[in-house]
Amino acid sequence: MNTPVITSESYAHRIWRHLQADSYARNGIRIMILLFFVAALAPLLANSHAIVRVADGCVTFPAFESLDPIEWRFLFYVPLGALVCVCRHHFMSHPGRSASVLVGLVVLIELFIALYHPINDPSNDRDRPAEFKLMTPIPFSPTETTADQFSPPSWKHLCGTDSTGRDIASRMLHGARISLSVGFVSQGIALLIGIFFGSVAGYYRGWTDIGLSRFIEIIDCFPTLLLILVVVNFTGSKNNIFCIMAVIGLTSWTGIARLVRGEFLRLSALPFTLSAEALGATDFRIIIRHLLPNSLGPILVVGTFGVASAILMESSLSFLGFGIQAPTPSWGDILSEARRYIDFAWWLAFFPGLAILITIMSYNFVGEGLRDAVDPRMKVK
Amino acid sequence: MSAPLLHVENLGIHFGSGTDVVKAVDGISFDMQAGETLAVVGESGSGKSVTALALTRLLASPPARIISGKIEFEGRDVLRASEHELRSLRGKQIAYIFQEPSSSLNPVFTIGYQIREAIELHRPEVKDVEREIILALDRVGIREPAKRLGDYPHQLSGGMQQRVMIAMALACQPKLLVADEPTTALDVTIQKQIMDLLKDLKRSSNMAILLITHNFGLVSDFADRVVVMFRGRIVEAGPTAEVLRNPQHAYTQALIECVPKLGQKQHRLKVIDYAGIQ
Repeated sequence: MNTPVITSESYAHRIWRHLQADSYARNGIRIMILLFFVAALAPLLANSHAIVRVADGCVTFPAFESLDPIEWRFLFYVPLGALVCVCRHHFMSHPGRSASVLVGLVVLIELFIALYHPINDPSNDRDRPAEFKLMTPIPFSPTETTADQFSPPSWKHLCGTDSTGRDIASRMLHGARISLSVGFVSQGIALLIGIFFGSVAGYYRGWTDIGLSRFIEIIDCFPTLLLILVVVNFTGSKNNIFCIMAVIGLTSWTGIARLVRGEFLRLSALPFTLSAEALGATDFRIIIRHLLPNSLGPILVVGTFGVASAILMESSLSFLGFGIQAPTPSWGDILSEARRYIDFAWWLAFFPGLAILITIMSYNFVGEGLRDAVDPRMKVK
Repeated sequence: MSAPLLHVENLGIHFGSGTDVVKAVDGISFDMQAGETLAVVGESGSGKSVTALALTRLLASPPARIISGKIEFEGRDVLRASEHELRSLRGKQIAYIFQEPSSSLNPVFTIGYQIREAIELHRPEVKDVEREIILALDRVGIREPAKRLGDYPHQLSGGMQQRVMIAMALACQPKLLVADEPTTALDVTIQKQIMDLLKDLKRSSNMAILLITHNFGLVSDFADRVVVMFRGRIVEAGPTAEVLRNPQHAYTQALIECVPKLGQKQHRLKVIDYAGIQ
């Protein structure tokens, strides 16, 4: 018997096609992908070390040598993820073999990173003589101070420099990683918590719902920004990026929980929930396989808007001086410094502000596109 | 006579509590044999759907409470069964089809996926699931089933959706099919097609069918026996032909009168006179 060909496309594919048909969402996605790659490859785009350097007859790769484990992981896993996405049909058709190949690759990468010690070389390759050198497009590292203080945008410093002569373009490229990872990770945390509480409250109703809803309302009553400031204050010197992500995530899940609860209340009253139950499905299965996919649309939409607001929140925190610690660049941090010199160094505020604006706008466009695309009854334009 | 497939005895189901109790089902008893077709007939609110859902304890509780009685399926006590036992009963032994096919199917999954779920839940031994899905669709008279697998519910007509529901219910080869007003949401020609399909399926398999309807017209050439429910009680029960020919209870008589007959001129449709019925 021939294996039948499934002619209709999958739900995810439909959503993708719909998004591609919407020009705002399409460009939003392009900007998101671009930002993602910029963030992942920042050390190879802006670095004081050369990518390749030939001197005294030996070839070295100084830019790679200075990478820390997290940067190595970015460098390996982003192409790997892209590869899996591109070849997903091949991977699906040989699940066993591809899984073992992937596990093998991951083990190799982790082994390499465990054995690797980054060389912390504060000097730069710009002025060092060499027979051949290939610098990164922006030949400054984000934390490197130079003698050019407050230099306005020029071909040498595309976005100018700040009070200690650090290159703003380089700081912004590296800052993209902080802003984007804060957006994604904190929203991921918020989604997990929000979906959990929302689905339990909406599916079980009754006292469970009453209890959880009051709990959500209590959490909602806290002034988020003040709460974050207090928590960040307590964590004090340990105040690192993961702490910021966790705090933003832990305070921004209530909207998602309410939305999921509402969706579950509506969906669980529909006959298909009863019919799944009559088929002998467990509560867990009904929640995960039947109700959650049906509410995925609205969840994705608020998730996208949530990423935008988390990026904004991180910028506000950094602006207030409670964000990422000093030498690490983030967009909010650059803005915060700009405040003091706004009367003459306009470029300090303009470029990070523009970056935040473009990022938030592209997320919001994608969010709005998703809102239309997730409805299976909508015709693709 | 062998032990019945389904034994319901003195079943009482109340909604709400305190002074606000509604006696939806008030002490009913009936038996079903394997392979038999039983029709439960009654108007809206007579407790027929509640009875059907109670067979596998699908009623949400609260507000529903089963306050008395016994339900036995193949000798097993349903009312004392654990959640785990209930799940292996639902779908596998007792399958349901409901009134609204359009909303009984999950709108975001293809019909092939939904039938696959039924098979994977209860028949893990099936190797070629794809083939089984196509067979299931073929059995309910869907043409070119292999091409329909990837269709979403909203792409199908109401009649096709109900066929998919039936295919899903039958995919697990249940011993009892509960059809809760399967044709109410469909127009008359589709109604006939679906009833013919159920009749064919009944002939080709030894499955018992519990048909729940308010329409005596559907019952006559379909069910072996009829149970008439009124206000949560069974007012009359017996072989279909006998009940139709010689209804004993005033309500049954009134219900049969309500079915308009072809070729008979009537100025007004008969309306049930509740005052005369007790």
